[in-house]
Amino acid sequence: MVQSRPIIPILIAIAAASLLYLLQEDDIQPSEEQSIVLPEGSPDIYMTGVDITRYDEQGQATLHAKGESLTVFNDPKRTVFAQPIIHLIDQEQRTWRITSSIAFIDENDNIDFQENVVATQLISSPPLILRTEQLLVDPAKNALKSDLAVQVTQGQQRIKAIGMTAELDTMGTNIHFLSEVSFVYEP
Amino acid sequence: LPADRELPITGQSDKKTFETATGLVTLTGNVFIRQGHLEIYAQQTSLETNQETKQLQQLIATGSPARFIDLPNEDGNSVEVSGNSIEFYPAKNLIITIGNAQISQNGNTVNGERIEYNTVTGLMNIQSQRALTGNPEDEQAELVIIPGAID
Repeated sequence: MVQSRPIIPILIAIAAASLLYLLQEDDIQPSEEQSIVLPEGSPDIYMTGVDITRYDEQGQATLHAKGESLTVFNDPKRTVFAQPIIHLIDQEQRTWRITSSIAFIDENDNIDFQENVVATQLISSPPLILRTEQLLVDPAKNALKSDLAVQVTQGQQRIKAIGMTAELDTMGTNIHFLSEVSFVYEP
Repeated sequence: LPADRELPITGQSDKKTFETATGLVTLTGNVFIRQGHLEIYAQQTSLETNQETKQLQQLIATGSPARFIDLPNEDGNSVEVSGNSIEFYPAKNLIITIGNAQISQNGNTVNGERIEYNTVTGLMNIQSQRALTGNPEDEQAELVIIPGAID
């Protein structure tokens, strides 16, 4: 009989330890959200219903962007913009509106518009409309560029070419069509 | 033909620059322009349009040489104009050719340094190099008419 007496305290101790462990379990167990492991290549920022305005050092608006969604990756730094509607602004005047199916913004803030690109020069009358499948915008140099087929219409004038560059300034834009130029001008 | 001035102007070139503020267009390299019967071949051409009326005001073609071919009236005799520089003013129906200027029609040719030609009336004003410079050593204007070529 003597053998059974030491076992009872041991059993009591084990039961108490188990009870304590169960009580603490809720605290140790991390909540579901903290331990989510994102899959490889996930964005760092994802926004929908985008409405962004960019300002220069003097507080002047230089660009306004609206779009369906914005996905930002930090490494390597790039941004994917779905259904962008971008206005270039110069001295509080909207000079160009550029839309496309998608746009990619790189680490130097160059914007690469792709698929159904339509760029409208708002400050010319009638407005000048440029259509292509890819358009590169360099806000720092205030320049546009495309290496693909482009079509420009303004009033009665229609111009087609392969490749173009344009310097944007408030006075007027000079558009250079690079090759295979054909045009129709209806008097 | 006078009615051609209402027709669309079509053209091709290697390169083109379009100044949206002024409407000035500069075509460079293998330039070919057509408006009805009028054809223009040049190395470089600039077109200026009136920003209000959007009408073509002035076209200047340069080349070696630049060439204009036009059908001034229904009788079917086309006129060919060539020179270093050809200026075309549609509103005035006027073509001014400068430098190695030559106009030919139906075998008849006129050579000079500067030729003004009215595309509707057919009136020509030919100035020789000598007339322009006053230097007796310079060339005179030359006119060659084929007998029977003119009614």
